[in-house]
Amino acid sequence: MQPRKSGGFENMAESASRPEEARPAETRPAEEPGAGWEPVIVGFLCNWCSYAGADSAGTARMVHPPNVRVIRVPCSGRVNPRFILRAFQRGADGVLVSGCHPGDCHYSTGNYYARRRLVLLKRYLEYLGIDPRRFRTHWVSASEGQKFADIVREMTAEIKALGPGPKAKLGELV
Amino acid sequence: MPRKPMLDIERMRSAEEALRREARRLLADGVVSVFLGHEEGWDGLAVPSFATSPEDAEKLVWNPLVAPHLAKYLLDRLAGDEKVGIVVNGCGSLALERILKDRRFPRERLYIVGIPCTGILDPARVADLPPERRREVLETGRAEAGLFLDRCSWCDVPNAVVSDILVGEPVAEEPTVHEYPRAARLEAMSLEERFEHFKDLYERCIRCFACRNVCPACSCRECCLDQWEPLWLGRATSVPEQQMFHFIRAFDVAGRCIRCGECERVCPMGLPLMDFNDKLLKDIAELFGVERPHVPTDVEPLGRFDPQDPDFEEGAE
Amino acid sequence: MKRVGVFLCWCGSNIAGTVDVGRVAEKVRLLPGVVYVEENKYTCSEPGQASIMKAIKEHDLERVVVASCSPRLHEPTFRRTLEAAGMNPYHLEMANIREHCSWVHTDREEATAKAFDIVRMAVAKALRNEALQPGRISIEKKALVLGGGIAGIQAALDIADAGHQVILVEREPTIGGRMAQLDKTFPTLDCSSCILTPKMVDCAKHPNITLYTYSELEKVEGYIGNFNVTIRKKARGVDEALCTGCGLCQTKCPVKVDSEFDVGVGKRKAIYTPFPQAVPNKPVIDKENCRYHKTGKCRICERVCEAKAIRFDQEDTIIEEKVGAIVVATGFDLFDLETYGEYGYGLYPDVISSLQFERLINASGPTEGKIRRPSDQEVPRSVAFVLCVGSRDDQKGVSYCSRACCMYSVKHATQYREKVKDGRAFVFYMDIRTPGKAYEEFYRRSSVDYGVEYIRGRPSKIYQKGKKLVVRAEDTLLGRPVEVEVDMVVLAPAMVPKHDAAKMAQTLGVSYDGYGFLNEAHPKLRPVETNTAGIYLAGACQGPKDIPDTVAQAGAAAAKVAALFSQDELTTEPMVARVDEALCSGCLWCKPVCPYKAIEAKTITERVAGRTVTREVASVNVGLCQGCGACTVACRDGAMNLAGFTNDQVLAEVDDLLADLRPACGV
Repeated sequence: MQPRKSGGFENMAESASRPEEARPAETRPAEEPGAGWEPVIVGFLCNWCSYAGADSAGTARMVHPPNVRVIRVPCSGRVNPRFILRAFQRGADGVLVSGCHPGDCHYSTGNYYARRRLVLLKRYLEYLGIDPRRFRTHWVSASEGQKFADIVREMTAEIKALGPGPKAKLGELV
Repeated sequence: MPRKPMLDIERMRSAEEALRREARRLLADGVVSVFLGHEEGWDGLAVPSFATSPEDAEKLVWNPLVAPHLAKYLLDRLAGDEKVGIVVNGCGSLALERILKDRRFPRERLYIVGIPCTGILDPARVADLPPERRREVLETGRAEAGLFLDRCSWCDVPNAVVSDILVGEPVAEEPTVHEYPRAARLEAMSLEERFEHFKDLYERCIRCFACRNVCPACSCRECCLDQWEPLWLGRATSVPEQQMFHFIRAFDVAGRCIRCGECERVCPMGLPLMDFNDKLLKDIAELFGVERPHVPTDVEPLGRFDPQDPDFEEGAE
Repeated sequence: MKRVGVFLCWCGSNIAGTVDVGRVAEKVRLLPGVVYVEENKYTCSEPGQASIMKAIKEHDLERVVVASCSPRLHEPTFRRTLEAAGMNPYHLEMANIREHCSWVHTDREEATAKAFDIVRMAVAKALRNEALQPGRISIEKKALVLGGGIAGIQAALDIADAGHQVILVEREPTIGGRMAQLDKTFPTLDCSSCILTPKMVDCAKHPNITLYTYSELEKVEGYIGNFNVTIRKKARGVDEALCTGCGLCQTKCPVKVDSEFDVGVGKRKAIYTPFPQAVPNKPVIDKENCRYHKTGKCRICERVCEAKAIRFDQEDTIIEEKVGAIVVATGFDLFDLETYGEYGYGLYPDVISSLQFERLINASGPTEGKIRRPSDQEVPRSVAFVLCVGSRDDQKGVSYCSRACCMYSVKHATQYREKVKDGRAFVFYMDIRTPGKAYEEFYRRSSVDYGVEYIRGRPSKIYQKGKKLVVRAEDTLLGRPVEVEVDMVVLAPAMVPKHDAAKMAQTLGVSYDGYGFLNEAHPKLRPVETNTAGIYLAGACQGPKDIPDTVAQAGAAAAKVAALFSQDELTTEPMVARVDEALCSGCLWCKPVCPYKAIEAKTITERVAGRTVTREVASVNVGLCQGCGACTVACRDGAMNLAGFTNDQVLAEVDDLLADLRPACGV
């Protein structure tokens, strides 16, 4: 079954200038660090505050680096520490977890439990030998688009300087 | 100051007699259908024993080698409603409390015999001694601190925290300031040194699951590590998977670990597994003001919060 | 594998201007599970949605991914599209390639690469989306209103007028609450009883309202739409059916004790109604002070009662009711003034509280409205009103502003000046807060027309000097200390939660703040709801407030209840937690972390190896669960999962995103 495109936009200038040759299937960071290597940062954002904060950065067109890939969760309390290590294990260079400010959780207490877990996890990951600058936790409210953009900018720059994440030193998964 | 473990062989011998008497009585009167204790296994080791008759009760021992905890065997006896007898010392009662607070076995079905304890020897360390020295230690009780189980060096529960009957005089409790030297030692290293230390551990691990199987805090009906959907942990024993394995193990018991160190003791590859748990115990104590993080409570530290908890952002409390 | 259709949006040039949508489409086509890819200029438009519906039918799509704007914007829109096409609306996933991508990145290559990543994560998640149905729970269309002050009365009347049954439970022998104790209300100075008593009578007479006075709430079980409440109707000692309210028993009773209603400045009998306009107008026997109950002698009331309504041996009755919603309107108490020893309350008889002043100035009060000093019954020729006693005090009191005291103190000073024409009224204040309608004007009049004298400074000490009281303060506007000798001092105590507010909150299962005020669900947007579904708040139990705000809040709570009762069944959130009972060990560590108390233990029976076993597992009340997922993290073996954000889905998003990454070291 061949997928179809709806018509109506073939006259757009962009479509005329599309290059014909196929690009490689993955547009991943280059294999050698330093040769324009870009870190991949997985971000767990809570739906009610931080995801909305990232949205408001978008609405206000606050430009920031494209290195964060957002995974939406209902609450920062939904973020299982296993997810975070899974991201590092599979090759993430950085992980960001962001939720509502304590006291403002949409579900009233989710972020308090998240806070305990995350504070403990931060120390533990550093103890395991993962650079603490790779795992950042923040509280970003729905109106703090600027804060979100700043976090992304800072984190990307810092991790870019640190180089590839812990998976590089651990070897292959299988 | 950590208490100094010591052996009182006389006291242990009379405790053993009293234990056998009690177990005999319980079984003969039909109060319990099985009594969990220890008996002498091969090479003088104390191995778990499941006495179902007064005659079996004669085999029960209480000696310096009764290191294995019995609480987890309760999970094999969930079916039915007969009562089960069990003997515990202090750390054994912590293991039992762990099973009870995790609601894995009903308290009403237990008859708990508590025996006050001032120290138990590490069977492996004793087995390494030359035969005459070994005999001397077991008969006189004169043993240096290094022969004892690691947990005896910090133990602040000489008396069982839960019991139906106590055998022997209670031991005076000494207030203990808990320290976590294993974690402190690693914290003092650099990030790279720590990484290498753990990478070495991951490489030597054979994923036998002995640590998980012996752990009283690990009692799920079906362990997440055995599941396929989702595949929390791949089966390959590659270093990244081993890192995940030990992470899940340690973080899942975080806040519920009783610091018994059985995981480390039973590991066939001699991995320093308490390096993981001690760090979490230390941080939970520090961060959340829990003085005795190894003692099971009704709501464990990660199951509650304080609006004034430490935060990772300035002025967020 | 499910058949996924991906719909990429250009959003005019909002997305296409930065992201090479065609390029993304090419790569998405190669993802496992994707059987159809389409690009649209405006997917949310009618033709765009129609195109989705057409594709669903023509290509037998089982899952839909729309890559466009934020799901916070259009997830409901596209869910409706799927529903219209006969698909379960929860088979939709959205990929946010606008707010999170095209709008914030400038490099076309990078933005395109990121857009593809976002879409592939959404596809991985969509493949694991399940068909979800909203839950349904029945609703008992009867409300319980706890508290018979103006808040409870108003809420009860509004709910009853909306056509629903209401049970109004009041702990005192009569409804009326604080407002019944007041004389006049600011800023209009209309008589409090005159506006309150008609409402009290309405409550008693309303066919939809059942009044239980001298009653307390003992137990609440259940959940929204299905609360089982236990009410203890305390023994009055009087048969309400027979009593005519003639009042003879009260007149003849030989025992006189301090009246709680008069806050100690007046007396009542051992058999009493708190005030003449009490509803119901049936007295109560105070067993602790009744001579018969204490000594076995007397029984005068029984002898004079023509209706033979006295019942000394009456017992409490327990009433069980089923209600669908509860409105909490339990009101407030006043700050303990003896905390401020430097003000002499409790030591000097002429230092009184504002509520006691209300009773003095009330025409039906113990002094028939004449302002008299408690010590010698003389008319005070000067009165000092002290504001913020207990409030706005981090050291000895509470930090908050008590909201109504400025206005009522202005009122008291005005009333005093009206009654004692040559008297001097001093108001010692920190600020005068007059936020309401006509409040500022009222305050101005008190100064300009009534000559009330305002001194900005918090008194440091009040002491007796002969027959006078000396108030020592700093006049901060003049910048110098002042000492004022007055005949009487009226302290304005902070409004605090009722002394047993915390216990009541625990009975109900609602949360409360550090002061004991009950917590609203959201401080700005949900002021009358709590985090416990089906329980609403009205009045000062939620925070200090004046009568207009209380009545407004009561109406709001009633509207919420009416909205709830407008349905026969409540549709509940489908993205809720659920328990895999085969995996669940029954450890119940999930239970304490639930903000909505939605998790309980449940006993199940199973056949295992030829025998029947019973064991406990966790159980989620889908009516209460709001889908936060905290329980799923507490659950170690994954028995607890969250529909719409399952463990499987999140792991798939992580795994799929990072699948093609080569380790940078080239191993």
